[in-house]
Amino acid sequence: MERPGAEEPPRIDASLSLAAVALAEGRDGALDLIWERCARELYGLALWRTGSVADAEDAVQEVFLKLARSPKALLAAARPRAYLLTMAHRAAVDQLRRRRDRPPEDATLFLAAPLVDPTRTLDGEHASRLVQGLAPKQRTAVFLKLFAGLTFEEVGRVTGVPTFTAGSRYRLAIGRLRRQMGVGS
Amino acid sequence: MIPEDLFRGLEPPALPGSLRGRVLTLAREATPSPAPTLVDALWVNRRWRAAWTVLVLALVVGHASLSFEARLIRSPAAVAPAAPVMDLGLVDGSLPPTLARRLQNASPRPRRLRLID
Repeated sequence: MERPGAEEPPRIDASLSLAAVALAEGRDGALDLIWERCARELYGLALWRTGSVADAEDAVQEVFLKLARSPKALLAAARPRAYLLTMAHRAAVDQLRRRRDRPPEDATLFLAAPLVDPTRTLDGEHASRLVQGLAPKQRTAVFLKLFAGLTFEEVGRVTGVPTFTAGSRYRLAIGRLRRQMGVGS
Repeated sequence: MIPEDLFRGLEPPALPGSLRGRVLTLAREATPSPAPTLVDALWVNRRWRAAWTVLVLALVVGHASLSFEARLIRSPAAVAPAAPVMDLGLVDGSLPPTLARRLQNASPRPRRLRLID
């Protein structure tokens, strides 16, 4: 998954719109197209929201099952990417509700370092431990803002909270991370 | 340090390898089959198929019979010839008035006759 700005959201929405048309028409390969465009992002969101690999996988599965059962729903969405992210978020929250009686998993790898980057300040495991220390709702706001590249208004729409609340969660999370990393604001 | 720098060089993990196959297989199985069209419903049902066949045959027979009748109507033997416009040559008044009147009525364009008593 690219960092924000690597592929402009309107292009992703345009390609998802084409995939939505294909899905509504029942053409083969439409779900594969949607998978290629956004599955990793949906999985990342679900992982950061639930803190569990198993729950994130189930959430992604739930999203695609819903798409398959209601093939015209995505076509009706004005912003297909935001619609899918909202579905993934809701599925993740549902997984958390079902998991209430189950103990949480051990340390989850929230971040990975695919390339050697001399400017990187943290390794993946250390960063993951810091992220795991955040409240799930704050983690979600950080993911949607930093990795999905959404605005605070869009973060609020996906998570079902006012824009101010979304921004507040993000700022609190970033402040905590900076303190833990010992960097200035 | 700006927020984006906190996680520089890091990104969320890749998808688990088996997830794609499992999810897409389940999703394809969950896809509803398309609703049969009217033509499919007619073709599958034997009674509808028989009724459709009878209807088509009736239309064909009806069309053939109407075409035959139309051809009969248009043939020269069946059409009564139009009454010719006769040049009666009655100017000299050689015909009696009664016959002249009858001939005048038979003609599509009554001609003015001059009767010489």
